Amino acid sequence: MPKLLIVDDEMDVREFAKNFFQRRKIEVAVSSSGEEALEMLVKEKPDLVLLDVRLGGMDGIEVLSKMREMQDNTQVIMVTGVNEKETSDKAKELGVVDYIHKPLKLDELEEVVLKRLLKTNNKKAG
Amino acid sequence: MGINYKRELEDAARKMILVHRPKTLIQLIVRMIVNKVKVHHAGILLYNSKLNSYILTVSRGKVGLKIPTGFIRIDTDNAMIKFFMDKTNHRYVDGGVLVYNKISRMLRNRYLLRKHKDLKGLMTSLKTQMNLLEAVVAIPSYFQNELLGVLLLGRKISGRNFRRDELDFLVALAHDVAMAIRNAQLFEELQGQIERNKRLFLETTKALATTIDAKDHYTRGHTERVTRVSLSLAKKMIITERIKVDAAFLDDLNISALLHDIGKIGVPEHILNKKGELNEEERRKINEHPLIGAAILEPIEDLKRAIDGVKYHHERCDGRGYPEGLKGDRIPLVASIIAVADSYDAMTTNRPYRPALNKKQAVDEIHKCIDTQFQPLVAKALIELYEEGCL
Repeated sequence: MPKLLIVDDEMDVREFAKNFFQRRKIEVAVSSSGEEALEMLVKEKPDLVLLDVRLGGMDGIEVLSKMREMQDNTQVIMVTGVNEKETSDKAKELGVVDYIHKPLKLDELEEVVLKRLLKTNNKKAG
Repeated sequence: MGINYKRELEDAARKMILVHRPKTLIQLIVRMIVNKVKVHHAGILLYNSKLNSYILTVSRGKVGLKIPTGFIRIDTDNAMIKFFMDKTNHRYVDGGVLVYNKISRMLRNRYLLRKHKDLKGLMTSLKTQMNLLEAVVAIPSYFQNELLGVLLLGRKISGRNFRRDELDFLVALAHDVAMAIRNAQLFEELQGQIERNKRLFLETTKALATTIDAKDHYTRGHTERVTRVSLSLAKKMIITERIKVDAAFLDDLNISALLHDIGKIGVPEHILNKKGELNEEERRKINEHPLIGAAILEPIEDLKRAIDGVKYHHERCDGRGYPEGLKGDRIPLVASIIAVADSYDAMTTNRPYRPALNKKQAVDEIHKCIDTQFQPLVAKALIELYEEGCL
């Protein structure tokens, strides 16, 4: 089963997204902070990370930079606010596979995540 | 028997009239639905004209099931929104209400699907949307023919289906919500208009006030400074002396201070700008300015208290002021405040007959004239403002 790591400091969002993807046959791990996320990456080895830009401690961009520093090339989808062009530019630079603006379209979220996970899973199988 | 929906509805309608903020209102309604109809979660999508999209504005219920507030949007090209926007679709479902079970049933009804060729595609996409939202009921909310929002409901905690009377209740509620939202929006627009009018009035008053400064060369900027100090004095008195004033007091004082010298329009320029000492006749002419000002403003009924300030800002506590020689408490508060601010500013600016005093000298001078010239509480407020470095 493909594995997704959801990083968001809002419990409502975390739990909703977890539920949402579990129902779509995806294994889900969650973390509420960037620091925790970096540990989870090593421990859980997810296929994909859904990373919110705004987090309590270190923000999404910092997490992403740290990941790249650690030579962790796990695929990342960044979740940003509507008017954060600077952030999405930076995220692109750091090699995110996609980013989604909040408020987001649920079908878009579903499609983007499932498509990515399917691709990696096929690669694994192949 | 469960709850009395008619009574709940009447109760909700009553609350709606009292609440003018749409967000508060919707929170109230969604909370009521979750509690009374007992569903896992409920939310309302509301149209946002800036984003041209429907945003989940309020959401309540079980964590994990409820969609977080502000997390999602549904664009106008979404199947469900398109379905609701086109009211001819109401022919497929009663009142345009989407019920998950009914959609599934329709999709199994071969006869129906054969009869309406587009139905299968339409219902399949609606089912997908409801699956995404974890909603088993979706109710559109219109004002006239505009889709203002959509009420989304999750499963009932009891696991049962929604009953007819419950759906009717929710449809009526959604209708009332739309009305209330429209009303609240209109109310907000009206508030905005009142604010704009108020601003316009104030700007006009300021423009009028500057005509005096233009005429009287020695008092350039005087009006603006007197207004600023007057307002500071009043605020100081409200806070430390706890004087009781009504809501319009500061607005009236503002206008009054701006216009306090407007009567100088009726005083010849050569007298206003004379470099030497004034003779008795000239002094008499200048002392007319409070009455001239009051006469100019008199036709404006709403300015009554502001006119008091214009008319009496040269009165003195001991009754030796003008134009009427009012004593002590007979002098309106607005006028007493402007009197202090006016004298302070006159003393701290250069005049043809003497150079300016510094702040401390001016404040000491005011202190000396407490009870004779100035109302004690106002003078005290000025001294305090000076000591706090707020002058």
